[in-house]
Amino acid sequence: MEFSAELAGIASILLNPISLLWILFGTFVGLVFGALPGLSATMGVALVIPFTFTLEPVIAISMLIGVYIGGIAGGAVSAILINIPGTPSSVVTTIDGYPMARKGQAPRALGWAAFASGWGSIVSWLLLITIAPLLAKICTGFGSPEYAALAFFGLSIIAAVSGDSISKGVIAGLVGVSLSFCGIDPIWGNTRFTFGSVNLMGGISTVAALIGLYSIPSILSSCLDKDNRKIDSKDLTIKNIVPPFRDQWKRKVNIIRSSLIGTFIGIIPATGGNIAAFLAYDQAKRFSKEPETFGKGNPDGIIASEASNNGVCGGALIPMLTLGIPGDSVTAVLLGGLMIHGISPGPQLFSENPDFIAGIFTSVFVATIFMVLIQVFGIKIFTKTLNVPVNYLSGILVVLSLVGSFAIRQNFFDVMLTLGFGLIGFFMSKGGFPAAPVVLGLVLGSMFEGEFRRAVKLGGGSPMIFLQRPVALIIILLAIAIIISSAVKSRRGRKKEA
Amino acid sequence: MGDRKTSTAKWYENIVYIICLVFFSIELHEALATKPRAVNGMQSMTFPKVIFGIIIVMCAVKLLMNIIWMIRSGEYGFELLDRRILISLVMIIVYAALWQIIGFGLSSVIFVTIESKLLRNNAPWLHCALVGLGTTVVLYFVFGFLFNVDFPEPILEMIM
Repeated sequence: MEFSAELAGIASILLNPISLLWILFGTFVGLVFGALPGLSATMGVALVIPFTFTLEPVIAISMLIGVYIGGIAGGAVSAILINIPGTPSSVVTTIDGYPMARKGQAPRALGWAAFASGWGSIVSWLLLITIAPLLAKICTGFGSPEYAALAFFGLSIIAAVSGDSISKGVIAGLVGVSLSFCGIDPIWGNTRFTFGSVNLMGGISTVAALIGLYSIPSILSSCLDKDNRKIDSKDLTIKNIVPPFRDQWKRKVNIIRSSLIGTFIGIIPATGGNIAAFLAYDQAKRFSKEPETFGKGNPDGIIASEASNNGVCGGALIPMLTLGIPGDSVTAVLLGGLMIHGISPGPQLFSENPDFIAGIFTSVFVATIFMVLIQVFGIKIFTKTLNVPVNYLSGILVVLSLVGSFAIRQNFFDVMLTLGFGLIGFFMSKGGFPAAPVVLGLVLGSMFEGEFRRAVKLGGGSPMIFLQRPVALIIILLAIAIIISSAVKSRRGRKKEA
Repeated sequence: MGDRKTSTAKWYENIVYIICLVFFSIELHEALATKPRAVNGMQSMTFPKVIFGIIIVMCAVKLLMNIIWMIRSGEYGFELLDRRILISLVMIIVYAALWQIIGFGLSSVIFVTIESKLLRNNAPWLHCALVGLGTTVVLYFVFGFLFNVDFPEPILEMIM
C-alpha cells in the first residue's frame, strides 16, 4: 500500500507536464535570482510563494525547491563572469572561476559549475532519500559546544583562502570577526559597537559587505582593462561547455567529498552554503597534487565550491522534512511555504503522506536536471556579458551593485556601507589582502562567539566542557590540525621560494 | 617574501594597517569603557577586547616591519593611481550621494553615461546615453516593478 502511494507520488511529478513546467519555471527563476547580486535564493523562494497558493501542495513545494536549487547554483554565473558572487555561498567560486574566465575559459568554468552543482545536488539527494532520518537525529543533537567547535573549524579555513600571505589572511579574518560583533550581544541582548546608529543594531549586512568587497575593487581595477577576450559563438559548443566525462571521472573524489561536506553542513541547522563551500575548498586544495594552482583558475576550486553549496540543498531538506527544523535561511522560508499549504513536517509526514514525500524527493532530482540543462543551454546568453565593452560594463556593474545592496532592506545606509567596504576592499586588494577571510569572519564570527559563550556558560564558566563533548573535541582537534598543517605548508613554501 | 613586494603595494598595505589601527583602537576604547555585564560566564566585551587587541598588535607589528623594510631597502616610491580610476572612485561616491538629491533614476542615467565616456574617450555620447537609459529602465523594471523596491526619487516625490 505504502509502495503504491510512493509510486503515485513519483508519477505525480514525472508524468505530469504541469508539475514539470512549474518546476522548470521555479528553477529558472531561482537561477535568475542567484545570478543577480543582491537577490538571493531566500528572497526568490519568499517572493514565489504567493504564486503557489492555487497549486496542489506537492507541485507548489516542488516549484519552491526548484527556486532553491536554481538560486544556489545561479550564484556561480556572476561569480565566474564578473567576479561578483551572486549569493554568499558562491564567494569561493570567484577564487578560481574568475581567473578561468579571464583566461578565456568562461564557458568551461560555467560548465564545471553547472555539473558540479548538479553532482552536489544528486549526492545530497541520494542521502536525502536513504539515510535522512538517521542523519537528522545525529546532527540535531548538536549543542552549543558542537556549534562553537564547528564555527572554529570554519574559521580555521582562513589559512586556505588567504592566498600568498597567511598573516594578511589572518588579519582580514579577524577584521571580519570584529565586524560581526556589531549589533546585539548574542547572550545579553544589549547593543554593542553601534555608535548610536539604529541601522547598525541588526549588525553589518553580509550582502553589503560582500558586494562592497568584491564588486567595487574589481570594477575599479577593470577600469584600465582592455575589452574582455570576445567569446566566439562558435566556441560555445556543447563540447566546449560540458566537461568531458573522463575529466569528471578523474575528479570524482573531489566531487563526492565536496558534495558530502555540503550535505553534512546542510543537515546542521543554522549553517549554510558559504561555510560548506569554504570547508570543501580547503579540503580540495589540501588533497590536490597541485595546490599552488588553486586561486589561478583550477577547475577543482569551482567543483569544490559548487558541489558543496548545492549539496547543502538536499542536506538542509533532511532536518526540515524529518523534524521540522530548517537547515538554513532558505529552508526556513520553505518551511513557511509548507505550513501555508497545511503540511506539518516531522516524522509523521513520512508515515502519513508517503506520496507527498516521494513527490518532493522526485522534484529535487528533476529540479537538479533542469538546473544543469538551463545552465548548459543558457551559457550562450550568460557569456554575452563578457562581450559588452568594459567602459559600458563598469558603469552598469556599479549601478547593479548599489541597487543590489539597497534592495535587501531598502535602506540607503546599506549603500553607504557597500561604498565603505568597497573603498577598504580596494586598498586591501592593492595591498595584497584577500577578501574571502573577511566574509568568512563576518559570517562565522557571531556564531562562534555566541555559541562559545553559551557553551562556557553551560559548563559553569569553564571551557573544559569542550573536553567532555567528544564530537566537539574531535572537531576542535581537526581544526587545530588544519591550522598547524597550513602554517607548516606556508613555511615550507616560503623556504622553497627563498 | 617582502622583498618581492613593490613599494607601492607596501604603501597600500600600510594604509590598511593604519585604518585598522585607528578603527579598532576606537572599538577597543569603546569595549574598555563599557560596564561589564556578566554574572556567570563571559562578559559581553571580553571576546571583542581579545580580538581587537590581537588585530591592533598584529597591525602595529606588520606596519613597523614594513617601515623598517622601506628604510633598509630605500624603496619609498609610490605609483599614483591612474586618473580614470581616481575619477571613477569619486564619481561612484558622488553618484551614491545623488540618489538622495536628484533621485535614483536621473543619477543612474547621468552616472552610466559619463562613466562610459570617461573610460573610453572615443565612445559616442549617444551610445553612452542609451546604455545609461537602458540600464536604468531595466533595473527599474526588475527591481522596482517586479520586486517592489522603492527607490529614492525626491524630485519625483516633490512633483507628485
